[in-house]
Amino acid sequence: MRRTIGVLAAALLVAGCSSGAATSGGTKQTLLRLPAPSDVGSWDPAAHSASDLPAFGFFQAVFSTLTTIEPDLSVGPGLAKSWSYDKPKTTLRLTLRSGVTFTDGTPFNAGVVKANLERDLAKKGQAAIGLKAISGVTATNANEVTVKLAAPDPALLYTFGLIPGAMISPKSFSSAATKPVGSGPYVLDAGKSTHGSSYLFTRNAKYNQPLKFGFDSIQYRVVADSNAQVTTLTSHQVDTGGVTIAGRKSVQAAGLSTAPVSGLITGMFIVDRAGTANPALGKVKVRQAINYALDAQGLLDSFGGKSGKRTTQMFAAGTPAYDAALNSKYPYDPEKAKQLLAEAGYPNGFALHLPSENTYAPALYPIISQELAKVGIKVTYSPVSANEITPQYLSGKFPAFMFTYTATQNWVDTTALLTKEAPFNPFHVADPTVAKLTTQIAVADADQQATLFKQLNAYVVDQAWFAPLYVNTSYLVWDKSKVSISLVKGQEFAFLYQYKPAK
Amino acid sequence: MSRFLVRRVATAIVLLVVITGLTFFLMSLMPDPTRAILGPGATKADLTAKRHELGLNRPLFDQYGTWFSHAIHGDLGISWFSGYPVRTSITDRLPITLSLAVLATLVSAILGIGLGMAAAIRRGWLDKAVQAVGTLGFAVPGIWLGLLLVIGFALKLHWFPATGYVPFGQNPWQWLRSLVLPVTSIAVGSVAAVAAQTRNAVASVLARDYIRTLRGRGLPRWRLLLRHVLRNSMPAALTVVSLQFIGLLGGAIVVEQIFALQGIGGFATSGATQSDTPVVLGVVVVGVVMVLVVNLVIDLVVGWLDPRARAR
Repeated sequence: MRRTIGVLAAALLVAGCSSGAATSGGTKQTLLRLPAPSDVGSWDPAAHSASDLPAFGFFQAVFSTLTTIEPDLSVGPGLAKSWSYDKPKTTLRLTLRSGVTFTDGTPFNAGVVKANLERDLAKKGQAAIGLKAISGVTATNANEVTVKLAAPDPALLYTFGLIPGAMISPKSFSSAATKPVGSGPYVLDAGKSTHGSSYLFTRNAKYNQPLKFGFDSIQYRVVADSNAQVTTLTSHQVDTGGVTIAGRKSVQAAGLSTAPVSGLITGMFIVDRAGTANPALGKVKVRQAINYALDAQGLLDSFGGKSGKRTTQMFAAGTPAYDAALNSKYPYDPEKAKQLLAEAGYPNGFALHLPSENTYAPALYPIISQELAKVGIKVTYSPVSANEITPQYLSGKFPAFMFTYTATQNWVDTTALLTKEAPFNPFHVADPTVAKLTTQIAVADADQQATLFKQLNAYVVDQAWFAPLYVNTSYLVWDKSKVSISLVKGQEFAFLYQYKPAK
Repeated sequence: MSRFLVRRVATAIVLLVVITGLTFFLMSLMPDPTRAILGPGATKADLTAKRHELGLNRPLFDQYGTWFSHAIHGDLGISWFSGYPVRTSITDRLPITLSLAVLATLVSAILGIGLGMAAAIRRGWLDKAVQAVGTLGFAVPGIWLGLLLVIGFALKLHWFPATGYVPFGQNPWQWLRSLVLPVTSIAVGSVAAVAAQTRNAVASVLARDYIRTLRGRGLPRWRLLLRHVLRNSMPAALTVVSLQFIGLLGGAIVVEQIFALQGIGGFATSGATQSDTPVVLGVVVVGVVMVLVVNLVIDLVVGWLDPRARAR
């Protein structure tokens, strides 16, 4: 048998990288290329929580939401152009924008809002948890919806600006997971997208809402690994993205612009506030002693990469509850910590059993135990595997734990951290001051709310329910020759509408 | 041949049931995933409702039976976390991992067999050089090599993209460019393995009496090498190539991460860490099917090359 062995020689010609602008029909078409830290998964809003910000990045392109969120996290009009509450704040009337149509031609109206919200609630997915205050939805007329609430929810309008408030065409309900049909600024070009890898969105010709989006098309590329995110940016395969302190020098060396953005709050959650599992933690002086015993600035310098800010509070900078003056409340003072422990009846300290993990803050554990040991608190750790962290921490098994937390809207944080039913209050400790303040906040107007949130924050910091250490700073990165972005102080992430083509 | 195929298909079905069954029962030992699915805000009632919706309150055999009956009809279920159909996710990601593994296997086979043959035939300095390079190839970690390749060929020279994947159907040239660096970083170890195996097999055949006899009868050198040496040493080399292919499917996980390729590796990893049973089972099905297909193809090729193998 005769066989011919062919040798293929491939000449590796180098083609130029795709640029951020292309010309079509004589008009310069602008393209924004963004990385996404994870895939969107399902396109069904019912499957995502309000806090799923990576998925929200994709959703902003295709779907319009009932409200919109401003860079300072306040709420602005969206598909609902205005709204009003009744006095007890249990009835919300939304006045809808008219003339909006979905990309499949279906008109947007009150019936669509009712159908979407009722579907989200019936699906009992993650979106339903953000909408759980809703007890009924009525289409009052074509452009007005009445939302009845079982209890006041000051975060509902904020939630309406995130994925649970995304409106999809009722005709697409059965295929919502795989085929997005919205009324947003862009349309998914399925032919030029690979689910799980990259997505191209082109302008929606029917989009007629006030929020303006600067680019003609948007391309999202899924880049999960943090090192790969840096190389994707430095090789100019995307026009903007985010990096930690470790990647900042590399992206700056590649000629990219950076701006600091607030990140995660790292610290100890002292959840056994009533001393059920560990009686010492029931005493406020013991919890305060823990705050004094931890050298937060030293830990920030060592583990936060000197990139971050000391904080003693669990609310985000720039929000009404935040008070910069509180950050000087617990300076590093082991002697003061010992004194407080003695006054609380623990002159020789006490034993504290904590979980440890290898995902969020693995390097902190030995330092935390050393620093607490200096004031007499003897820490022992039980390792918890990555997929067990949330269930075990929120089960009430541990009296305290180290955690990282993204603070957002004040009411969202309050109901996540402070109220009796809050998931991060696993011992379900009821505190009369918090109960009174939250009841007042729920029905207060915006100005009153700001004052009350500040009081709540000051009370919680004084009670030392947490021992926050620092807020990490990460960096928003962009190629200024292609993109311009205007951020407000304290902003954690940029919304799609904030990206404009460079002039 | 037909009996051989029927026997292979029957074995495949049994293997599929055993492996997916074992995987399913191992996954059932993982902690309740409902809290992680619904997030911290979920109440006990929400968690109970989710368990009912996912069927986690039903007996294990019942759950597995339901999954299997759907799977044999091509329905691999919905990811518990992303809410996206598992089959569609696999269909979207499989071309990426297969592109990587097939190209890396081709490179390993062509370079490994070529270098191995050259080393065995020429001996001397070439043999020593191939063995030295082979040892280096085994020793170099793919992740380290991948990072070096990115720095050198993507960031400094701009010859290839640093990250990402372009589908073949979209642009074949860009598809190839997007795969050069990742394929190189995973193929180096495989080239070394195939070259070492081929060298030993060819050297062993060359030392046989019948080769000396054929050479003595004046058979042309090229005919001796192609018809007698290569054909008799190929089964061993091909077995290594098939094992390398299967290994490359697993080894692709790290390379996918470095080069931001959204293949099966990352999908499997996130499914396993999240206890996303439908995703893990879907990936296992694909993995088992691929291993069985590759082994079947190699058996057929070896049988074609070596008549003695057909009789076994």
